[in-house]
Amino acid sequence: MTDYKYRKGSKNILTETSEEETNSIKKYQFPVLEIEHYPLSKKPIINGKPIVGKYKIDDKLNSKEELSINDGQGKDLEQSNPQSNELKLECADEKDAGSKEKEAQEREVEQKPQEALESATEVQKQEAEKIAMPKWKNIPVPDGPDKYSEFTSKRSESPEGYSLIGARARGKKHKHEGTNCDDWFEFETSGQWTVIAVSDGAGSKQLSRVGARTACQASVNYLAERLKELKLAQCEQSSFERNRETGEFVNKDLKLVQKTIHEAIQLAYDEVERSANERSGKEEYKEVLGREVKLDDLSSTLLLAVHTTIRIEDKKYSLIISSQIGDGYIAVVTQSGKPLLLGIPEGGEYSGQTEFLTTSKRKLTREYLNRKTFIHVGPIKALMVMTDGVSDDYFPHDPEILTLYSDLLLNSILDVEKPSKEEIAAAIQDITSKTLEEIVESKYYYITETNATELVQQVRIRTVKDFSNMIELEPSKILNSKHLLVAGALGEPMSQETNSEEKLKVWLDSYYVRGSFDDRTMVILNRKDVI
Amino acid sequence: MLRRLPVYLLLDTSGSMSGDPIEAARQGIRALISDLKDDPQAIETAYLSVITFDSTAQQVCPLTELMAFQEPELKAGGTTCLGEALTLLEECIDREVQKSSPEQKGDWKPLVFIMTDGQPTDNWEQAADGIKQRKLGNIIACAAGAGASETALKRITEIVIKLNSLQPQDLQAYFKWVTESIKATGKSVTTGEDGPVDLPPLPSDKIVIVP
Repeated sequence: MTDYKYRKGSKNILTETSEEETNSIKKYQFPVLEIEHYPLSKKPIINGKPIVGKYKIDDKLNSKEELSINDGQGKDLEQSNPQSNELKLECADEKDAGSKEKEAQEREVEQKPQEALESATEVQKQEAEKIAMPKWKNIPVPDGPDKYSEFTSKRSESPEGYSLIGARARGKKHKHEGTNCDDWFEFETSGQWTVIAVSDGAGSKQLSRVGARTACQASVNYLAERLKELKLAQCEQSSFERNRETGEFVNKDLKLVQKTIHEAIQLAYDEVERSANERSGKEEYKEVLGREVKLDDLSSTLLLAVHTTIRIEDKKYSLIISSQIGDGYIAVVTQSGKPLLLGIPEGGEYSGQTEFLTTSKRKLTREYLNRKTFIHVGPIKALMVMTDGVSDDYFPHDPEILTLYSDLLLNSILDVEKPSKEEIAAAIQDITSKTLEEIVESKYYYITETNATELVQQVRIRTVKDFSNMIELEPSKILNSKHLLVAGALGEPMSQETNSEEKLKVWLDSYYVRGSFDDRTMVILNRKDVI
Repeated sequence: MLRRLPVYLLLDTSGSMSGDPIEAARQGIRALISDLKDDPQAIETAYLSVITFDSTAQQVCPLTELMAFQEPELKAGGTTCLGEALTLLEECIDREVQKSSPEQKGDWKPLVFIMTDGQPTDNWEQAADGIKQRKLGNIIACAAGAGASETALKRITEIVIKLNSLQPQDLQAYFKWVTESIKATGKSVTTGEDGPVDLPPLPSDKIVIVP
């Protein structure tokens, strides 16, 4: 049982220490970097080892040592789950917590999710469908301090010419309660670098959106400025070594990037603190909170990733360095189609808790952050950074990161060069008995509505799951076939939008997963020439 | 990945509940379901189960999603085997509630509402201690009326409330409060944070906290 499935061959640096030492040392492991190489022929990469490699990969790296499961904090996993909630009771008179219904501005949006009644019997399903499903309300963002827009989308191009898009959508819960979206994202290209920040404000904190935005803007601006002139020298296998104890990169350029990311995180903390101080003492905030603003009220996560390309013996490889505080995913789909998670969300991937940037300044030391820096080197299809509003719907990361990428392709969201219809028709012959026409005509999508665009419109959402049922093929066969995915995207478009970032925004606003009500934010860097 | 909010209602159906009280309880549950069905969030995440206890304990409704929930037949009569109910609760939770694992995010910690109007008649102490120790869920126990024992309930959980009587309006107020608590917890857990859940205020003329 291990989160490090993709880090096969990583050494457990703790195997040589004693039990007590093991328990007392913080259990951070630095996976030894395994570079994924371009296949030299059409043969696939097996077990991360190229068939013929110009690099000697140290045999030890590929040993079959099982990694021990740990959540990075030495806690017994059983105890940290299930979610611990204490209850407090209040006995009050009937000065009820005033309801926030603003009926004058209500607009009800009915959603007819396809999967809402999975476990009910057929009869009950039909009955329930007849009853008007209580409507999710859509109450506009209230006027008030720090009013943010419901939706944002942005597009750019990386220095390599990769597509770079981001979008943010207010979740169902906030729409129903009439509160602000708490997510934020920023990205910039600077010199040879792409810099990405994504942040999710704590749901229980009323000004967390301010923290999210401040953290993203401060960290991205700093990184963009600092990395602008940095061009990485020609690299070799040994360039990626790290000090086993501190986690610091040995190579001076990488060490610099690592240091800059940490400074960006520390700066983000300072800026959030400044934002809190700016607002304390102001009447409008006292009204909203019923007291003075505290740093805590701006709690948010922070996910940072920087990307550039390097040359190793004449070939181009993506190099990604990342660090994150709190939940959400920094994920990569490699060129060979593997789903990777950079880093481990706080407390383990499946813990209910989350940590915030502002939880403890003490925790933002170089020493701590060095261990929480992750690197990936290898050709990629896509880098995706997202809040847990999306990542919770694609869990566990293996294989669901691939499903996510595939859902994006099926809905034609990503800007990619598509093969011709003839090529598609020929390629899918070996995989499915359905013809291209049948696939195009099949209408296997579900229909819902979005208000993320100027006019409310109907939206057709495709999913790997529905595609799989229609075409009668297991999802794993679909995830691996770019021709099938492109075929599945043909036919009626998802919506009227034509730009990638607009489509991403619409998709984030409309896709349905039961129990998924959170704000949804994603930034995607993807190659256009590789699907 | 759906994380459900499991809710267990443990209801005393002993002889003293017969007549108006059990009828009021039945109506209370009906109102609870109907009320929850108005909350779109509850529809997607709340799953309910009812366990009754008199001379024996029975899970009359297995953990079911709101839209598929069938109201239980409630009949009063017999003694008050609270201990057996607690043991059954433990068994149900172990069986029905999803734990977290690398492959799946588990359900939220169950919400348990226990209501009894009298003294337990079986060997309940061990079961109570076991439940309290395991911290299986967030348990709120209600001592309904004069005949109920707060001390027994305190052994199971810190959070004990007292209902004035078994009059219909009091029982109605109890179930209404249970509904509001389920909604509040539902909203709170989906923010994904760790922290105390503030339950809604109690109608103090009918229900009070036992300190």
